[in-house]
Amino acid sequence: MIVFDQVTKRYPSSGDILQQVSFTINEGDMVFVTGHSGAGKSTLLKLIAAIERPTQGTVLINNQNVSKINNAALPYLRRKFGLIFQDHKLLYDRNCFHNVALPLSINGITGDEASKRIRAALDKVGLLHKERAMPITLSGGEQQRLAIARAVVSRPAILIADEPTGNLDTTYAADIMQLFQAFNQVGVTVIIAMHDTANVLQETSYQTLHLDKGRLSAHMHHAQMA
Amino acid sequence: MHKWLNQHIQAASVVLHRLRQQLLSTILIMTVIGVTLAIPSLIYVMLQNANALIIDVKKEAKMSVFLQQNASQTTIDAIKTKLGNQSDIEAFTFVSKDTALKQLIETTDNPELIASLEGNPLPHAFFIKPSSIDKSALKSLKSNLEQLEGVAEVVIDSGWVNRLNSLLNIGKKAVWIFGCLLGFALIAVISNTIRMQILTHKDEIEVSELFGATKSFIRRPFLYLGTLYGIGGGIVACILLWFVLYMFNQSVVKIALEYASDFTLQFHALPTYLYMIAISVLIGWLASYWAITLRSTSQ
Repeated sequence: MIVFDQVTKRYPSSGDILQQVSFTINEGDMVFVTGHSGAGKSTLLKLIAAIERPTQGTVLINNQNVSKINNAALPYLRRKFGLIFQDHKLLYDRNCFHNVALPLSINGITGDEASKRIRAALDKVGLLHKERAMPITLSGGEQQRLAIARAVVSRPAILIADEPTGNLDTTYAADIMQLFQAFNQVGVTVIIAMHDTANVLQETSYQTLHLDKGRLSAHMHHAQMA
Repeated sequence: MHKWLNQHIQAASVVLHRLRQQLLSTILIMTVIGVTLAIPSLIYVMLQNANALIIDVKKEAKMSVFLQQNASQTTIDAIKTKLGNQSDIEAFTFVSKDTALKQLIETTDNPELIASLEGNPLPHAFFIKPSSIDKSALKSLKSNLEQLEGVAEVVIDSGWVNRLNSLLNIGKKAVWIFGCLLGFALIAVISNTIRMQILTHKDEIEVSELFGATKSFIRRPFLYLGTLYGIGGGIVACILLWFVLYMFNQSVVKIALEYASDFTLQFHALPTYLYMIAISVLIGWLASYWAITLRSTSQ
């Protein structure tokens, strides 16, 4: 469970990016964070993933207060999250297999157990046949799917994606959204920032957090259309 | 425990893989370390050998005891028995003033000059071989002998050995200072190399941190890198040192033979080489630790 209570994030150079934001995300929720660029979506995700700490207010992740957690414990908190970035942040000096291996080796998982899980993750995103390929040879959509495989390989409870379909055409984008929905259906909490939800398939229930100039202007629940 | 070991094996194998990929720069940095370490070690081993040579020479040190001109035969006999009972004297010989004069006439180029002297100006003398070459033992022996009746002067003939010894001590200090300076230079060079490596792996470090890597997880490969540079550099230094000394020794043995000596350089002592590798590893580790610490404080 993720709880934001009156959270403000201020950067010395650019003032308040988020102001007094409060909401609760339950386990297994699918949440879209929407808003114009510069509305504070990325900052909100960084606060959830404990990459940034709030200037004011409290962020609770599974009842742990992110503001009060010490630096040594922070890495262990981050391992609860699978992160997907708009610019992928893939490592271009190694092949797909070894890109996906990184989070596992951070968790101390190597050898056969690691190989099994890496191939399972690559299979899930449809890249098993490309495990030896270098990321630079993949298309934009494939690179994004590789990033997803890397994010899910250590079986995080929460998936966070920042504009995962931002640079992709509609068919690829729909593919990616389907993947996220599949993960959500097996109980993973999914939080996605995007400027519009037009691509979202309607079979699932989801919530939207709409940000406007750093303030939470709407928190809507969309029920499943049976 | 198993997990801990696993993480170390993993980091080491990653680093070995990287070293293989950048074989040329790896060899270059190891050569830099090797040469830099070999120079002071070379001087050190040379000094060690010179020291051994001096100890050999020191054993030849003698003490000369000159008696007063008017010393009687009874005084001489008394001194003789005294010297015979001293445990810190290994051996001694007595040279009477007449024998001394005879020897002088035999060896001098100018016997007429000596013959023209009135009487014998030379004193009776004892030449002593002390059992210890320790400085303070020699001093106390000297003052003991000076207090004997009939003794005019006691001279330690090892003055030049002492001077050589202090020169050697200066040399040893110089090696230490030189070695320390080169050590700092090495730390700077290695940590700069590792800083470059850290920059090359900037993306990997950033992504690893986002995926929850601990500080030590990120540090570990670079510490291994520094340590491996140290091991490689130490081995290069050992090979260089052994080879240079081997070449030197051939000339040294030749010269020694001409002096009818079986002196040869001692450079096969294993501890010297082990120390050198240990120092090299320490320098490598310190340098990488420094590079990583600089990185985290600059963020």
